[in-house]
Amino acid sequence: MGFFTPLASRVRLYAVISTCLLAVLAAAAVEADLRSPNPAARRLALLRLAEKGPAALEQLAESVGDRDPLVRRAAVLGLSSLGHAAIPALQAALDNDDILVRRNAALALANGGLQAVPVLSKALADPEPIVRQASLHALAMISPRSAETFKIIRTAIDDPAPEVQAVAITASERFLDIVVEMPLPLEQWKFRLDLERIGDDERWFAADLDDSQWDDISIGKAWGHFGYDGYIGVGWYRRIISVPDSPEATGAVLQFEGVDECAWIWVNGQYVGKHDIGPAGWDKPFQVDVGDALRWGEDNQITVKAMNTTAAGGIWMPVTLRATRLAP
Amino acid sequence: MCTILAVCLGVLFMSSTANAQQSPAQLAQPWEQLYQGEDVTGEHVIAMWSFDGEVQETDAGGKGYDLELIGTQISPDGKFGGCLESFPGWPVEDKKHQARVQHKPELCPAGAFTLEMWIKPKPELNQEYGDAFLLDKKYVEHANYQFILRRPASDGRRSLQAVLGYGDDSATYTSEPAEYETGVWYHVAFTYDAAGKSSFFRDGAALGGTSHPGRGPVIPSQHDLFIGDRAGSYYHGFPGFIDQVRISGGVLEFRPATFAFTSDRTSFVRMEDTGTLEFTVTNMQRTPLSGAVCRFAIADADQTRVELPELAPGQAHTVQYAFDTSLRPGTYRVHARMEINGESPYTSEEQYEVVLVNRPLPLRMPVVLWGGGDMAQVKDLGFTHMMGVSANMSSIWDAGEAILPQSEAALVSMKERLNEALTCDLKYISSLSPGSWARQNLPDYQRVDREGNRLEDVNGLYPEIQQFCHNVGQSISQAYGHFPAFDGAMIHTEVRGASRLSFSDLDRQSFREFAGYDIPEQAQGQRGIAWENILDFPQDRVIPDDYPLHVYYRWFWKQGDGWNDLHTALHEGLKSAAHPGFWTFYDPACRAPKAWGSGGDVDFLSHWTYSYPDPICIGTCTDELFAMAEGGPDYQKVMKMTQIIWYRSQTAPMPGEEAHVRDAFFDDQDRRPVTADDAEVEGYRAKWEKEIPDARFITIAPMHLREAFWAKMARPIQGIMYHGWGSLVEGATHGSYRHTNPDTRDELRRLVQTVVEPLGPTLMQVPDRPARVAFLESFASEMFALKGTYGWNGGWTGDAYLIMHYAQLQPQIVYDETIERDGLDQYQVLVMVDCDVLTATVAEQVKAFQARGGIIIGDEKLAPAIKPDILMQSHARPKEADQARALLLQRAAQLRTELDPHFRRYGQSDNPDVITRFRQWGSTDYLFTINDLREFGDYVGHHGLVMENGLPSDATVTVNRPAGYVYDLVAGRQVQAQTERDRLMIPVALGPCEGRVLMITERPIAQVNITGADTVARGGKLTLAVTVADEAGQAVDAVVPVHVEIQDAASQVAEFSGYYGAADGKMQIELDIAPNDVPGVWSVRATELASGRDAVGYFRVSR
Repeated sequence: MGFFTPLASRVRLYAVISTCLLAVLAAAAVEADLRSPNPAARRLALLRLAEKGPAALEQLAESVGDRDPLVRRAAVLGLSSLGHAAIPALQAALDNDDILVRRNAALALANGGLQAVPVLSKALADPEPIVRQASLHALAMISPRSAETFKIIRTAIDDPAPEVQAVAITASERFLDIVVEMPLPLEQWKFRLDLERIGDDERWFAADLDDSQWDDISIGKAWGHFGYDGYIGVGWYRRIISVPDSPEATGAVLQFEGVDECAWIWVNGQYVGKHDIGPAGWDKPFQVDVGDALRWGEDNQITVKAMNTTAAGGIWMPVTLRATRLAP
Repeated sequence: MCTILAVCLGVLFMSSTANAQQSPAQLAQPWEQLYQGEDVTGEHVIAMWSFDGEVQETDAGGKGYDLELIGTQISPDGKFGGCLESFPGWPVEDKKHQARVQHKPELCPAGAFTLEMWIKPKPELNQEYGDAFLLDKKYVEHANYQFILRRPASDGRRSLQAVLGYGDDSATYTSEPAEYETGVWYHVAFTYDAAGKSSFFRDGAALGGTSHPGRGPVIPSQHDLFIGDRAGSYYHGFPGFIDQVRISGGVLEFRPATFAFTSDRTSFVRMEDTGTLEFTVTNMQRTPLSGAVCRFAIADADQTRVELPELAPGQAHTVQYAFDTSLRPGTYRVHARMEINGESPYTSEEQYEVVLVNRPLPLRMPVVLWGGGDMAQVKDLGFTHMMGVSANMSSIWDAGEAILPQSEAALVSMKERLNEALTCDLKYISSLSPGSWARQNLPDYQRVDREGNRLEDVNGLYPEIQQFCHNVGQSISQAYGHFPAFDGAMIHTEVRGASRLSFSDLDRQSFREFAGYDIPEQAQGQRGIAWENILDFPQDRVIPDDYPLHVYYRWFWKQGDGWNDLHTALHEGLKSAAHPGFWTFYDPACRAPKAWGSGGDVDFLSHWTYSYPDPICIGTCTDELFAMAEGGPDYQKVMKMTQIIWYRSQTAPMPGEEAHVRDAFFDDQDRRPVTADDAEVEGYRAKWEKEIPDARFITIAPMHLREAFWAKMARPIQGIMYHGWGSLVEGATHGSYRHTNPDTRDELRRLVQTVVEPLGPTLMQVPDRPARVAFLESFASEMFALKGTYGWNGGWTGDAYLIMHYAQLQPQIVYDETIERDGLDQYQVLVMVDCDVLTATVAEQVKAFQARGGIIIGDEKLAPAIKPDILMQSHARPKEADQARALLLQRAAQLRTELDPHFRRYGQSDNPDVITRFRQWGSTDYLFTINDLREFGDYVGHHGLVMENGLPSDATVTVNRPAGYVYDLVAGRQVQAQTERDRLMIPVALGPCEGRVLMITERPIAQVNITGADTVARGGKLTLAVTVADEAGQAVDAVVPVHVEIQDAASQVAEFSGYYGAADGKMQIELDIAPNDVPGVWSVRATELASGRDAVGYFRVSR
């Protein structure tokens, strides 16, 4: 080195020094920006910092508590790229006051593997539906799949929010193999208008109810096709369905492609679920878990109470029984 | 002068001749001779009396039409032997002087017919003698015919007259007047085509005729036929001699040659290179015609002489006369004369009016009436275009090639309208939908469902259908494409809303060739399949770009349903023979998922919008059109249509009514509940509701029209359209469109006159300022989450877009394909509502954008793969318009609290009711401000669905530029603005629903300069240059609206006067001084419309 260092080596040396200096200066600039009163500068600095990988973990975790919402969310975005090391920070973020921080943190935990399952399970109790939805998405994306994960997702089918239920259903399907798929017959259903709204009180869902005097009807078309055109109100559908034996099945659902507008379902007199999101639900597919109520290899009584508040009504799309088992 | 014109007019040439085989009955009748042979007994002869032979008192053809002479006699002094001599009736002698023929049905022509005879007046046919009846089978009934020599006019000349009966009434047909001298034989004839058109002839020369369009054949009656007098009442016999009376079927010819003006053009644009007038000479003689000469002249110009070749009997020859379109605009009378010399000299002379109109100004913004109307009214309201050219699809399909698109009569009628339209500065648009016709009429080419059942929807993949569409376009183009007033065509309107999937062998094979695999089994509906219904759909809702269902749906909507190719085929057919400026458009171009290519290769995309509930919603669809055109051909641009009609159900429902049109605005929203109680509510009703309670469609409120107008003009559209003539003007044929608001019409006229005409040429040139906020309308989400606006501006996407406006963000809509092609580098904010599903490429681009610092605004449905920076949760729109608008403003304010610390707008209003939008040319901004503050009125507002009345608003608009000079282009004055902290602060005061466009320049406008030559000779060229400049004389860096008025030496406004947009402050006008222009000093006044500065220049036009 010194005066006798060849010129090329000196150039290289200066280049290295320059690069280091620039890096130091850049780091200093990022550091300064992170302390800037300007939230836009803080956010951009965080995004640059996140490119450094695990070295940014501490700052990102700290910035989840930034006073500016976009800075907080950028911090979560940065954490989401750091893998398992960020799980504690992301877990902490699930308690943040910012809904979007919690939502994005839950989604980021999808990369956390089975380690994140308990954390996400806890997040299913979040007061905000979109956080619960995100948690379900994350659970479904976690690899490898496990029976425990499936069980957690399955519980969310009873979530009070329909949009969360919908995610739980589709997420749980990823864990299942279908062993029986049986479209319910379209014809030979019994039907009765509930003009006085007495069906619930009189237990029109009871398995042993004598419905022989009820009207005949089909499903797959709105009830207007069968003489009830323009009817606004409640109507009850009943039918006996013969279900084959299925020793492989560990669960079963009834998949409704469309009930205009709301539906409550009983199997063998046992209430199994509902679809109740108002008029907007008229064309939304849904499913109910009938695994506990269904009797394999026997006749099963199905009752559907449908309610319509505008335009056409009834079970206007097909219904399918699916028997499932947990995918290996 | 005459010399100049002679040079200009002297270009003459002749086209080839046509020789038609014609029967004697079709050629000229040998009326100068005694009819013989076929001319007496031919099938076309109904009856003829020559008063000759052994039995003079019967018909010459031996059909038993005997004559009973009552007060008349047979005279030997006939033209050809014997004749009938009749005498004057009242007031000389009120007695019968007639030859009566007993009625027979054959004497009542069922179709076209000809009446003719020789007459020779006696001295009693003098000035005092009135009508002289030559034939009468009508009397006072509305049936059959009368042929009369009318009472003399003051100059002593008489006209021939035929009165024809049509059952309910009669119509009179009259010849030109002529002298009838005592003692001279005249051959007189009348022809009727059984369709309202008559012709008179005297001695083989045309004597004019009148027309009553819409009339048909005459009605028969039981009256006898009388020759030489009237049937009854007071008698009016012909005082003279009558010979060779003949009644024939069909329209016979008596001229030795016909000389017809056969050009379909009678109006031309100045300097047009196709100003050719065409005349056809047909030899109607039964012998060759030689030595004929044609002469043409205009005004005082020298005559131009053309000698014709010898023409065989029935042979036609076309003479073309080059009309000089370099003359000054005006109406010219062309004198045309044909002469036949020789033993029987004959002359036919006609005069025709030809109109020469100004050349159009560059960049005049089209104002299209989407429909038809009365031409004068249409013009009065400021429209530049209307619809009205059609084609007979069935004939063109049967022909399998381009043919005449309509019947001859319809063609002639349409061409007359096109000529007329040009003279009153109006243009026609054709509406052509061969694909729609095929859908209903060609079941073999329909689509099929998976089971093979036919669907009532044409399959555009069939080459035959594509060729058919091309043939239709070509047919129209060949027939009308040379008419300057035929300016454009609408292609296949409203065809894709229900474009259904098809599974024919052709469809399957086409997709297999495209993708390399079969149509996925899950593809069932054209609007996609919800991801929830797809097993193993990716949990993060990011699909690979080559996800088979996605590949299929994108193929279907770009190519597979065939419509885009059909549009292109029709477009290309129309362009095949049309004049260069001809343009096509397709609407509604956004009634399809957001995949590029909607409309095929048409010139313009358009789409209609109903202005309710918030007029600024028109901007949503307009921006979707721009996003669509981004993927079209380079030349493809955007026009925008506003519906004049309002659906009653969406604005002022009838008691008990609910929205009955599923695709209407609130289609995807909860609709207003309708109960029996509603029907019984009888509250306030507007005047129109009481007068027309069953109106299905009403007139848009004038203030809504105004705000919607500004919302679309704020964007770089190239034309505007309106539909709903029946609701716009009173007294129009209305159907279900009712005229319920007379103020709307006046508002439209005002907007066109005060904004479109003066500013259109400027605004058409100014592009948008590059957007910093992108708004993704995702095709993948449309197909896998059943989302999409389909051009209705509705749903959560529609509301979210309005929120962006109220948040002063000026968003730009992008599609998946936009991001795939262009990335997101130009943006700082990306809005992703209703973006449930993304393709891998889009997702990667979005993530990279965010990693670079881009801000993502998403809703709760956003694909889990994306972590938004700002959550904007969806909402259900309240049905009450005031609550809905308040909610949108509140959401905008919420958004701003999170976004504003991170995003600096280029400009914004401090009043969210005043919406801003920027366009840009160089260093110049064009700031649009639109006042959206509204309240319920008493037109429809009492129903709570629409706030139709605007309120005034004040605002200060801040622009992030350190300085600028602000000009109000509508008011034409400079606006005082202040600079604070390197920002320009502009005060704005807007009237109800009013808009304004402010031009902000870097340097102030200080002067207008005009340069050009001092002198130009008639027939010469002169270039005028106008510059809008700063103090130093440097042209401003802007497109400046300029009004130019050129006055000739007679103080008449000359060609090229009007409105311009001076790009970069400069413009040029190339004047072609006409050879007949007024010599002397001309003046040019150029006024820039930004601040009102002007300049005047003069030049001399020498002889």
